[in-house]
Amino acid sequence: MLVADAGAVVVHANEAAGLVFPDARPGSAMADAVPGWLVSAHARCTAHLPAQRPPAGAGTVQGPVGDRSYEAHPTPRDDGTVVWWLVDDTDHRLAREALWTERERTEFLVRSSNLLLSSLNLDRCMDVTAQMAADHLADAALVIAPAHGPELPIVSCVRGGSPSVSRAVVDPEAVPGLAEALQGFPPVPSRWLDPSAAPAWLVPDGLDALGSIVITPLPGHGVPAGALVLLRADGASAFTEGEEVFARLFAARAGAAMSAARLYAEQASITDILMRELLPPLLHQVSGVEYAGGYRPSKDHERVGGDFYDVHPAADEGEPSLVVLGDVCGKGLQAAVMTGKIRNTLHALLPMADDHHRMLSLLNTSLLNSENARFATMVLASAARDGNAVQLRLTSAGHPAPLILRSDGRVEEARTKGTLVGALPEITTETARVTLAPGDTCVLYTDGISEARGGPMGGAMFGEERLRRALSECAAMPAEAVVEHVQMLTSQWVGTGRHDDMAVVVISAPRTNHLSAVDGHTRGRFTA
Amino acid sequence: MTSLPSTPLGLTYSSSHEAVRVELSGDLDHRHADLLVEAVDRLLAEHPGLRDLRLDCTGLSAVDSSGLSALLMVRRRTDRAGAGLHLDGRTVQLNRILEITCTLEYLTAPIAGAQALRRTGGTACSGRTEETLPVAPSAGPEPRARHDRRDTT
Repeated sequence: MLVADAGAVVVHANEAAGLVFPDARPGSAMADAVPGWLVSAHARCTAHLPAQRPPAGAGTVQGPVGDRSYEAHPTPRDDGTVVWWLVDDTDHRLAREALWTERERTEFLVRSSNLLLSSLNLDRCMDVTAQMAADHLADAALVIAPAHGPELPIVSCVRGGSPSVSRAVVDPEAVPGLAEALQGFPPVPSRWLDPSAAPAWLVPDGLDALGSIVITPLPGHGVPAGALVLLRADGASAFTEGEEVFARLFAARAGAAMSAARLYAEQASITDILMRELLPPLLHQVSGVEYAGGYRPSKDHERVGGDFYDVHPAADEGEPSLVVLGDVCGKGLQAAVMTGKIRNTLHALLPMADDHHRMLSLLNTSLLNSENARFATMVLASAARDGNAVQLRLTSAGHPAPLILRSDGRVEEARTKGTLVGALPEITTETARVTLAPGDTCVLYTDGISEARGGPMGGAMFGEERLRRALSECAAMPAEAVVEHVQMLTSQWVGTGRHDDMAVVVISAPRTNHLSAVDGHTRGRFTA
Repeated sequence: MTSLPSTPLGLTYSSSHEAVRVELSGDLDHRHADLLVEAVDRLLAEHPGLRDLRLDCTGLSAVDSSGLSALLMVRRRTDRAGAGLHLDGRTVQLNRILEITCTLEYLTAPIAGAQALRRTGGTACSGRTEETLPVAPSAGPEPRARHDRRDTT
C-alpha cells in the first residue's frame, strides 16, 4: 500500500510497499520511487476535483516492476491523497498468456491438420507444411522430402510469401542432422545449427541474415516423410524450448499427412500399373476363328480386377488357339495380384494346352496355399479352324458352362464341369467337345453377367434364362455384335445400380463366302 | 434376395452333446466371410473333441465367391480338428454355386473330404471325362483318355 498526495509526493508506504519500492519513503517524489506507469496513473487520478473523481474500483492500472508485474488499484481520499493498493499479478498474467498462446497454438494445429489431411496430394502437403511453418513458426521454412535418386525435393517458403518448389542435387550430409532426419529412423531430436555453417541452398531468397536454424524430422507411419527446417532472421528472437516442442507437434502432423499422401500415391501407382497389366486384350480374328471380348469392370472401388480373359494364338497354323476366361474370388488388390499370377502361369503352361486337365491341375497346385482358400473359376477353350467349322474343346473349372448359340437361334449349354482352382488338393474336370458350324457362336461369360442384379424391380437377377433368350436374338450376328448386345442388355438391366465385374468372350465360326453367295442380300457378298 | 446393400451376416449358436449348430443368416459375402471363419476357429478352440459342426444355411440370403472361400476354409479347419461338417438347409443359390464349382461333395463328405471323395468316386464331378456335343462333323475321342476316371478300381 502506498499513499501519495496531489503533488505526487509519497505520504506513506507500508512495509510491503517498501520491499517493492525501496526508494518509496514519506516525502520522496513518486517519480524517483516508483515506475513511470504508476506516476502517470497517479497524475490522471489527481487531475480531477475530489467531487469528480471516479468511484473506487475504477482506474485500475497494471505494469511491470522489475521482472514482476503488478496491478495498482487507486482509492482517492477526501484530503486529495490517493491510496494505491498494489497486487502482484505476475503468475496470473503468465498463466493467462500461456493459456492464450496455447489456444492460439491449438487453433493453429487444428487448422494445419485440417489443411493437411484434406489432401492426399504429396506436393500440396509439402506446400501447406512449408507455408504454415513459415507463417507461424519461423521467418522461413523448408520442407525437404527423402531423396528421389540424386535429387532432394525441396519446398521453401518465406513468411508471407508463397511456397516454391525446387529439386536440388545436394548432399544432405553437408547439413548436420539433416541426413538423420531424412532417414526418419531412429527418431532424432531437433538439431540446432550454426547459421554460419548452413550451405547457401538452405537459405531461401528473401531472407538476408540468418539468426537461428532448427531441423526437425517429419515422422511418418514407419516411412520417413522428410525434414522440416525452420529459419529465423538475424535479430529475431531465437527458438525457445517451448517453440521447439511446438514445432515438433506440428512436424508430427505434417509428417503423418505427408507419409499418408506418399503411401497413397505409391498405392495408386501400383494399382495403376497392375490394372494396366490386367486390362483385357483387344481381340480379333486369329487363324480363321473370330474372337470378341467385352469387359465392364465394377465401379465399386473395393471390387477391382476380379475377372480376366486372354486369347493365346496358336504357335503354328492349324493348331488350336487357347482362350481363357475366369473370375478370381475376392476383391481388390489381392484379387488383382492373383489374377496376374493365374494369367502368367497359364501363359507358361501353354505348351500343354492340348490337355486342359493337366494344365488346370498344375495351375491348381501352384495356387494352393494353407493360409487361405482363395480360388478362381475359369473356362479354357481351345479353338481350331477345321474346314469351314471350328472345333472347340471346352473345360470349365468351377465356372458357369459356356453357351453355344447355333445360327438358327438355338442355345445349348456346353456339357463341361469341373472343380474350382486353387482351393482343393485335387481337381476333377470334364471337357466338352463342340463343333461350331459357320455362323455358330460360343459364349464364355462370368457370373457378373448372369448374376447382375437390377431389372424393373431393381433386385432381380439377370439369370441364365434371360441370357439365353438374349443370345437367341443374336443368331448369326458377328462375334463383335453378340458381345455388344449382351453388354447392352446387362447394362440396361443393372442401370445405375452396383454390379460386379462383367466379362464376356465370344468365339465364332465366321460365315463363309459360300454362304453369303447363297443368300444374296447379306452384306457379306460385298465384303467377302 | 432383393436387398442390394448387403445385410450383415448373423451367427446364432447352440450346442448339444458333441455337436455345435450355427444358424447363418444374412449375406455370406466378401464383407462378412471372415466372420464365419473366425467364429468357427473360436468354436473349435472352445470345444476340443467336437464331433460335428452343423451350419444351418436356411437364413442365408446371398453367397458370393468369398463366402464359398470361407466355407472351404471352414472345411479345412473341421478336417484338421477331426470334426464332421454339415451344411443343413442349403438354399437354391448355395446349392447352385456348390454344384457349378464342384465343391458340394468336398464340403459335405463325411470326414476328411478329399480322401473320402476319392474312395467313393463315380459322381458328377469326380474323375475326368470328355464329352462331345453331337454336332456333325463329330470329333473323335481325345487321345489322352488314359487319364480318365483314374481311381475307379
